[in-house]
Amino acid sequence: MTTGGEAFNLAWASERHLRVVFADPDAAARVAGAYAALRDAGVRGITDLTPASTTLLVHLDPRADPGSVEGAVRSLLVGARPHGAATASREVNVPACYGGDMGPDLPDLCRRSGLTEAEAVRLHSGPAYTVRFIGFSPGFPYLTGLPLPLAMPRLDEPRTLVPAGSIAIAGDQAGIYPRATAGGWRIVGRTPLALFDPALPDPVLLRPGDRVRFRPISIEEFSALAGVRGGRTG
Amino acid sequence: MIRVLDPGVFSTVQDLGRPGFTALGVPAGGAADPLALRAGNLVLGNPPGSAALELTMIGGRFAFDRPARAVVSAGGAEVWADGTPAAVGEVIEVAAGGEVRVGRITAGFRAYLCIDGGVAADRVFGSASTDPTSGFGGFGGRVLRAGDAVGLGPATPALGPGRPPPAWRGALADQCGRRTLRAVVGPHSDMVPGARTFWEEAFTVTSRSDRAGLRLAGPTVATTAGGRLASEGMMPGAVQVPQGGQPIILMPDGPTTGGYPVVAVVAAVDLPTLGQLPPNAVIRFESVTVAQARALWAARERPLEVPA
Repeated sequence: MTTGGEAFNLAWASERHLRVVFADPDAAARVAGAYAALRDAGVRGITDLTPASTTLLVHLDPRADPGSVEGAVRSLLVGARPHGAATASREVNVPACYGGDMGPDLPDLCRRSGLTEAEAVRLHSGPAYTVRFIGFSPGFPYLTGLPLPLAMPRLDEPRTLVPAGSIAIAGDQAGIYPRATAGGWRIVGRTPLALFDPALPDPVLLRPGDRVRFRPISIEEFSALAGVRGGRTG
Repeated sequence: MIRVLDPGVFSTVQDLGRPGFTALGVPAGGAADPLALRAGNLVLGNPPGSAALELTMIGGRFAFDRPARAVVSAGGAEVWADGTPAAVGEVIEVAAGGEVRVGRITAGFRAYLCIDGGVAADRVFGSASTDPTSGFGGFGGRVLRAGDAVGLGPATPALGPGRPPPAWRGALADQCGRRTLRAVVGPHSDMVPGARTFWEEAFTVTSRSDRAGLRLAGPTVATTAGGRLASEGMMPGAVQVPQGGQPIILMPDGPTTGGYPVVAVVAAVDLPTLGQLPPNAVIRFESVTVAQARALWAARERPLEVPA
């Protein structure tokens, strides 16, 4: 629905989940504003909030009264103001070893795009990406800013095991797998950087609004850097 | 403490999980069958979400260094206390130095070894549940191995008879035998032209399934999303359809966001069943409305409430 200039659609995605879809332009800022408003309001009966690029998923305790939670969510959404990007934007340097065993889908990407591997690497490591949200698995950053020629659909069938640190593409999104998991994104390279470490007081390296730059490295440098946490440069 | 003599096939520490951290990409996790976990804890007088050992397919052997009361909560399982057969769902008095062995899980796929005082383990993001995929929580963030020494909470006194209400037994038996999953139509159903195939045909749970997802095999469910959908929030019970047309049901350790279209979401009432489906189980989906899904959940939960 559209209310008072705030464009969003609110619907039940299951009997225990409300799904909010925000209209462009500026869906990302609307998601961020709505997420902050709902989080800070602490609505009784809401157990979790999952922000993404244009959607916000609201998880309800099955014991909650769905009507009253829906009403509270709706009025908070109407009152929410779009958020700009993160308060203090940091730039994080992510070393990346491209192709070969570490980037098994790079040859396929080149076949589809008509680029050479060197051109694809130059293109991928060129821009500053922005962390839009963290999702999928602990600390997994969804990055915007992928150069269009590198956009590629997901695999038809996800891999049962993607190695930790895999640098990946799905549609026009870029991402990095912090831990070895199953996954359907196309893998073009790997970073030795640890993006998620539950033993640290702040387990998640990247946060929404951070800027990310990939720096091509050799396999030798990959081995030398394996497991380091650093990478923050700004 | 419990000493793991034989870890079984896939044993982890689980409680009711850590909802509230998906914005960091951290899944809620927790017992794959939360109903069985709650039942076992209630028989002992523990808080319903006390951490326990989640055993998969074949249980294992566990020795106790303090006198304990233990319950193996499951649809059905082979249980021995110091070599003598024991019953599922009933209190086993274990002496210091005694052991509990759980053999095959005969109904369903998972059993919970609950102990008075609960299992003491690493709490991460507010929960002792093991996330073996990401490697944190529970016992060292991993599956148990022979020789592990798992901590226990302080022993608690036995409860009087009559608790928990007998409705637990029926609910556990029902969910372990259930092969028709009640589900609501998912948010991306209009991107799945094969939705009719999904609702009408049977699917087999494959052995490539785990605590993150049940991978199904069956007739191809055609989708038009083309693998380019923007990723968005997911939930346990979401039925994703990748481009290959073989559905995946997300489980407690599954991805917090995803980009494959969601054709259906399994109703909360049948989430415990997902944790009890063995490989090769043949399942079907039955479409229910949001209102029906709520009524089913309430009807299942009401008789299980324990009077204070």
